[in-house]
Amino acid sequence: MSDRDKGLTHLFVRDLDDIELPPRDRWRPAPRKESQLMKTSRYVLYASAIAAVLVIALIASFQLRDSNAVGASGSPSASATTSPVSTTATPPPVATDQLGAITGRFAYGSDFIPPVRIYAISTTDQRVWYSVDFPGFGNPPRPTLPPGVSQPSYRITGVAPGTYWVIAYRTDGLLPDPGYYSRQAECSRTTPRGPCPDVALVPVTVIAGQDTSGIDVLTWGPPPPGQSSPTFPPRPAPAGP
Amino acid sequence: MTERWAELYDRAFPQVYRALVAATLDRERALDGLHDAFEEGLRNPPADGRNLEGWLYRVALRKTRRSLFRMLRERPMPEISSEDPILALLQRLEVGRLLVLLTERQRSIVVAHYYLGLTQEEIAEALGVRRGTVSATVSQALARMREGGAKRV
Repeated sequence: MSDRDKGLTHLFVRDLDDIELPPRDRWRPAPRKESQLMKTSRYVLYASAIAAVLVIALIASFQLRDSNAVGASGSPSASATTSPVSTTATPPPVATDQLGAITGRFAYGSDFIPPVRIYAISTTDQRVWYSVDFPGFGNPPRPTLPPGVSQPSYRITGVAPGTYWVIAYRTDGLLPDPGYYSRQAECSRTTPRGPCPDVALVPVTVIAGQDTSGIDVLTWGPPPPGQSSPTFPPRPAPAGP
Repeated sequence: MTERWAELYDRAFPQVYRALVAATLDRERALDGLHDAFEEGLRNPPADGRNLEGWLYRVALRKTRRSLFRMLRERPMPEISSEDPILALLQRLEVGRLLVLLTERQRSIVVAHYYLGLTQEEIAEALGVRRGTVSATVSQALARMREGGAKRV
């Protein structure tokens, strides 16, 4: 370092060392205060997180409810008298002794009955349904009735109390479709010789622990001319895996 | 680690603070810059303890420029009046009177060299400029100070 530099250094140090220092408590930064914007952002973030959790919980609860409903829709012990077809299902959220059943016969107007899946669909919540498969009956290659059974029939068991539409959708994709329990079936029971022209859908009431019998499926397809077609609930989607 | 850093910082604070005041002519900017450098040191401490003053000076100087831009955005640059306490102080000092004649960049380099005792290589490295630039800036600054000193005489 030259003499000139040494002199300048001395001068700088002598003079600048006179600059007063701030109080010791200001040497280090104070904990930074949160700005209003940051505070608001933090609150928004918290609120978003809570909302997200609530939405997820809500979605989960809906899914759980739906799965319960679908689970209840398969009849755990449903069977058709000709050839029982098992359906997998979760037991409905009703005590077993509180469950009822729906039974009935088929009539088709021919020497056979087509293969169908018979549904009991709740009139108040179409997501709640029960079903049983009927493999068909009559002309070969359709199954024949078991010995001692004179009439093809079905039975849907494990049904929670309530009111239902009973509808048989064909599983062979042919027409007429669907068959259902109607006022005509009701009328035929009391007035076998008829006439029973009314083909309106009739709700079926299931009572806890009891069989609701006589729910015959004998009306098929579109109504005769002059009558309006009943509005059928949509065919339930199969339960997921 | 935090305690060690705080201890080193406290030790270097007086000299670096004064250098920053002389370079920026602004106590608050100098303090803000040092505070920012302190926090920077907490997050990313300097690689080694050598030339800590140089590291602090460089980081704080960079931060003071940011704080200057921030200040300029928020409000127009205030005129430095002759009643400004720091200017008044510097006017009482021989070196201070001469420093006021320089640009902030010239002051930064001259103060680093003559007050903090950094070599031209260290200044070049700390400020991210070439050594030749440091040398030329020091020469220009000294010439200006000489010129200013002569006029005063």
